Amino acid sequence: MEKNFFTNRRFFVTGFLVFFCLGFIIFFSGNETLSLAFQEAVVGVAFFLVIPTLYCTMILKESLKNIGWHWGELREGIFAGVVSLVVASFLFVVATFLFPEIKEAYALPLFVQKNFLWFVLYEMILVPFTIFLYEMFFRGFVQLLWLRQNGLWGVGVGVSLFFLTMFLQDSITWSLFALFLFCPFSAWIAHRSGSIRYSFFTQWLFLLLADVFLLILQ
Amino acid sequence: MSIFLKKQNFFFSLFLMSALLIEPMAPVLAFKMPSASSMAGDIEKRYHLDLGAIQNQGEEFNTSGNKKMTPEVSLFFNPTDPKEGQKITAKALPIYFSNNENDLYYTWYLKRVDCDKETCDYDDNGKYDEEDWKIEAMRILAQNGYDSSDTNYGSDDDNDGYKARFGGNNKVGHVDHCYFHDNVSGKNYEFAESTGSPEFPCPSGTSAACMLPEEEITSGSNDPSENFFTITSSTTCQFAGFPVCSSETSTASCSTGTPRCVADPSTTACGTALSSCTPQAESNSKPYCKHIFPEASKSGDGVFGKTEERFWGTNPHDPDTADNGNKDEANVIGLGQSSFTWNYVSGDKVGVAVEGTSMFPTKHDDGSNMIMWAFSKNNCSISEASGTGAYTKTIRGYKVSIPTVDIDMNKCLKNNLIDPAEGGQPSNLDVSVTATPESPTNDPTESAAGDTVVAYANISNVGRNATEVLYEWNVSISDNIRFDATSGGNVANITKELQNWGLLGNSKGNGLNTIELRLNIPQNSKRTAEFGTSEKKLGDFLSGGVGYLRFRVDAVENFSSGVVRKGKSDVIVKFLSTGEKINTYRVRTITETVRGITVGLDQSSDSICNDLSDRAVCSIIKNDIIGVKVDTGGLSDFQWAINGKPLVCSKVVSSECADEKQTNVNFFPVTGNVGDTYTVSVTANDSQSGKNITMARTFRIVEPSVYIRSTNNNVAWPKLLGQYKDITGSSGSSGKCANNLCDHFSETVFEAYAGSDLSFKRGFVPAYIESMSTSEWRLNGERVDGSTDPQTITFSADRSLGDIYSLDFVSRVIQSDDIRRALFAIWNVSPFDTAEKNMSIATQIELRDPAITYATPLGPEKYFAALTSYFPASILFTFRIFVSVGLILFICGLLYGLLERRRGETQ
Repeated sequence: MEKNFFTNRRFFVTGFLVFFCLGFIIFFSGNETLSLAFQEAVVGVAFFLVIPTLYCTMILKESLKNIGWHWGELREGIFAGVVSLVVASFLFVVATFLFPEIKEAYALPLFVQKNFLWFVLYEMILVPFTIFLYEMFFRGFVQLLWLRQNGLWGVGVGVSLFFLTMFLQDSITWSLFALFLFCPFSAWIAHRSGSIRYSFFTQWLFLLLADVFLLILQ
Repeated sequence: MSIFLKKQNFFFSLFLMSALLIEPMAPVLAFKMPSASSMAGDIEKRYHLDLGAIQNQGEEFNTSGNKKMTPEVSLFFNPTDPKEGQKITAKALPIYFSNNENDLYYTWYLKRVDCDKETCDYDDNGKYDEEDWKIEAMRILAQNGYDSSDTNYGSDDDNDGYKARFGGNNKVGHVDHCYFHDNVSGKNYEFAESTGSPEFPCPSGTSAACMLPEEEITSGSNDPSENFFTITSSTTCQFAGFPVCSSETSTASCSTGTPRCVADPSTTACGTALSSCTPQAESNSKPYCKHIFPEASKSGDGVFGKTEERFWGTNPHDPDTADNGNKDEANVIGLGQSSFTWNYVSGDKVGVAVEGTSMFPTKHDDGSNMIMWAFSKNNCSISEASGTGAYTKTIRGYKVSIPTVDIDMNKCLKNNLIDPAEGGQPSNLDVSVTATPESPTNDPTESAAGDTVVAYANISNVGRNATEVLYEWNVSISDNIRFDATSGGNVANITKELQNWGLLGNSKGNGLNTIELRLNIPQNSKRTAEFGTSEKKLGDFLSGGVGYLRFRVDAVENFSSGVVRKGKSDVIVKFLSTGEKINTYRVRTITETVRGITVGLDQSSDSICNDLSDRAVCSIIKNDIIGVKVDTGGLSDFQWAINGKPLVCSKVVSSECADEKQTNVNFFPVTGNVGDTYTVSVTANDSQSGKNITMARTFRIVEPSVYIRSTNNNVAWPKLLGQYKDITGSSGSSGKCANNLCDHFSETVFEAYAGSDLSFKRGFVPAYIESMSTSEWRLNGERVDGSTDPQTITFSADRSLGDIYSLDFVSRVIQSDDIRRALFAIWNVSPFDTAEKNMSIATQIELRDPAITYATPLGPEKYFAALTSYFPASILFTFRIFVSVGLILFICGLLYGLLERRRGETQ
C-alpha cells in the first residue's frame, strides 16, 4: 500500500491540487471594496488556468499536450463534436419548450441584447474566455491530466466535480442550463479526442446558438 | 373696484352710442343745433367723465383680445439646493387650463450633462436630442424605481394601454382644434399643415381694406313737397376693417363697406375697386393636432405591447408598474404627472411641456376650446414655425379668417430647460465669519503681550464634509472701518507679513475654518518695515492708536463632477495698538475705620492671566473680585466700562480709586454664571498724541477644576485611545494629525513601565486659584503625606506587570472671609453664594511590560507600508492571489519531490 502510494504520487499530488483549487474557488467570498467580477476573473485565471499550466510544466515537467492543449485525434474530435452539437441542440430545443423556466430565467445583459456590437464582443470574448477556463480545468487538468488512465470513469468524475462545484457555489440555476447540458458532451468530446480544443470550440458554438435561439424566442 | 369699472364701461357705451347717432348729423349746422362735440362735452360734464380716461379705456379695448391669459406652467424644485445623487423633485404648477390638473399631459424631459449620442441615444436616431431627453425622464416616471433587469418580456398580459385624447384626459367627444399662442403679438394660431393665406390682387403699394364711402348732407328749402335734406355722394371714404375672401365664390367681401385696394387705410382716399381674390379654404389648410409625447408615434395609441414594455422598462405583467394609479402607457405620456423625481447629477437640466385645453373658445361653430401647450419657461417663439398663414371659413353666415401656423413644438423644448441649481437657488456657499475678542489690543513692543484674535468661518449650507472645503484667509489692515483707500485712507493686505513675523499660521488649506492672529504687530519693525506694497508702517494704519483688521475668507467646495461652489465673507475687528494694556490682579481687602472694608490690588503677587492661553480671554471663577489696572504713563482721564456699561470705582470700593474721577485702577465682582464673559474696556487720553485710546480685556467665567499631568512622558504617558478625524482642520497636516487623523490620548489613564519611578504634577484651571486652595494627593485611596513639593507626587511603580495604580488629587477652593465680606459689603453678594468649591481628579496608571512596546514603523517597514498604501486595491488583490498560487505550487513541488525520494527509498 505504502509502495503503491509513493508510486502513484502523481495521482495523489494532482488530486490534492485539484481539490485545493476547487475548495478555494468554492469558499472564496470576495472583498466588498473591489468589483466581484474582477475578483472572480482573477481567481478563475489563477486557479483554473495558471495553476494547471504551471503544475504540468514546472512540477510534473510534462508537456501541455497532457492537459489537452494539442489537436489530438482530429477525426474523433470532429465526429464527437458534430454529434454532440446536434444532439445537445436538439435536447436544448426540446427542453426549452418542456421547461418554460429556461426561457424565463435566461438573461443576457441588457446592453448585449440591445446592441449588436456588444453582443458580438460578448460572444467572441467573454463567453470563450469563461469556457476556456472551465475546459482547461475540468477537462484538461482533471479529466486528461489527473484521470486520463481511468477512461470513462474520469469523464464521470470530471463532470461530477463540475456539478458539485456549481452546486456548492449555489450556481445550479435555469439560467445556466445550456452550460450544464453540454458539460457531459464536452467531457465526452475531450475523452474521444484527447484534446480540449474540440470540446472548447463545440461548446462555444453550442452556447452561441443557444443564445441566438433564446433571443429569437423572446 | 369692479363696480367702478362697470360704471365706467356704462358711461363709455353711452358716450359711443351718442356719438354714433349724432355724428352723421354733424354737417347739418345750418340751424341752431348743438354739435356732437358740444353734446359729448355736456355728457362728460354731467356724468363727471374724464375724456382721457375714456380714451384710455377705448385704447385698451382695442387690444384686449391679444392680452388673454394663456396657459402657463411654473416649475418648483425641492430641495432647492440639490446635492449630487440626492433625490430631487420638480413640481409643475400649470395655470389657465380649463382641465383639472390630473387630466393634463405632462411631458417631462431630462437632459443629462454626461450624455451624448454614443451613450444616451435611446431612439437610435444617431443624435442625443429632445426625444432622448423625453425618454430619459418618462422612463424614470414609468418605472418609478422598478428594476427590469430580471423581467421576462416574452409575453405581455397586463392590458395597460392608454389612448390619449387631445386637450386632456377629460376631453371626451370634443372637436380637436390645436393652437399656438404667440406671446409677442398675442395672436392665437391654429395648427395647420398648409400655411397659405387668401390673396387679394391689389396693385403694388396698396393693400386690401374695407372702405365705407362718406355721404354729404346739405339743407334744402323749407318746402314741404321736397326733402329738407339733400344727400349726395362724397369722394372720401372711411376705413371699416379688412375684407375676407370667400372660398366658395372667390370674391372679396366686407361686413361693412366695400373691398378696395388702398395705399393707406388711415386716410380718406377710397382707392381702387377690388372684387376677386384667391381663397384659402379650411380643407386646403388641413388643420391638425399632434401630441409631443416621447416616441409619439406609438405612445398614447392605446396599445402597449411587450416591445414597448421592454423599451420603457415597465413590468409587462403589472398594469401599473409605477404604482401611482395610472396604466403604464398613461405614465409614459405623463397623464396627471405633475411631479417628477429623479437622482440629481450636477449639470442636469429638466423641463416639462403640459398639454391641455385652454380657456379660450375657438371661433369654430362647435363646443371647442383651444388645445394648447405650456412650457416650463413659457418660452416658445413663433420664429420656430415653418410658416404662418390663414384660412377663411364661413361661420354662422359670416366669413371668418383664422390664422394658422405649422410648427413642431419639440423645437421649443430646448429653450425651456431649467437647471435646478440656477436662478434664485443658493448655489453659493453661505459663509459667515466671527472673531473674538471684540476689542483686542495689539502690543507693538518687544514684550509681545498682545491679544490673540481668533477668526472663525462658518458655512451653513456646506454639501461635503467640512474638512473638504478649501479656505483661504486674507488679513488686511486699515485706519478706517470702511477700508476705503480712495478717500485718502490706508489699506493693505498684510497676510504674508504677519506670517513672516510668525504671528499668523497657515492661511490656506482644507478645513482651515479657524485662524489665530497674535496681535504683536511691531510699531517700527526691525524685521520687516513695509506693509503690503506700500512703504508704510503700523502707525500709518492707526488713527489715535486705533486700527482695523479685516479677516476675509474665501471658501471653495469642489465636487467630483467639476462643479465648484464658492462663498466669501469677512469680519472687521477694531483693535488698539498700545504698549499699555489692562493688567489683571487678584485683590486684597483693607479694613478702614471710616469706610469699613474696601479692596485693593494684590500686588504682592504677579498679575494673573499672563499665559499665552489667557491672553485672548482671561479665565476667572464665579464670586471672585478682579482688579484691573493700566499704567498711567502719559495717560489721563480714564473711563471704565464693563460690557458696554460704565464701571465706576469710588472710594467706597477702594482707596486706590477716587470719588471725583476715575483712576487707572478698577474692580469688578464676578457674579455671572459659568460661560458668561465680561469685556472690560478703558478709554484714556494720551497726553503725547492728544488722542483718546481705548484698551479692552475679555474675561470668561469657568468652572474651577484640577488636572494631573506626567512630568515625564517617556516614563508615564497618556494612554492612546485611538484616532479621530479632525474636522476643523486646525490641527495641521503634520505630526500627530497627519492626514487629519489625530491621536486621541486619555486625560485620566496613563501607562508606565513596571519598576520605573513615576512623577506627576497637578494644575488648576484657572491657574491663579492655586493660592486659594487646600489640596491633597491620594495614591490607591490613601492620603499621601509629607510630600516636599505639593505640586508633584513621585512614587516607584514596584507593583507587578498588569497592575493598576489609582492616583487622585482632591482640592478645595474657598474665598477668604475678608473677600466674602467685601463682596457682601460693597456689591451685596450674599455670603451663601460664596461657599467653597470642591474639585478632584482621579487617574489610573497601568503598568506594562517594557519588552512589549508598540512603535511606529521605521526604515524599510515604513517605506514599504507607505508604498503599499499607494497601490490600487485591485493590484494588491491580484498580487495576493498569485502569491497564493506560487505558494501552493511550491508546496506541491515540495510534496512531489519528497514523495519521489521516499519512493526511491522504498524501492
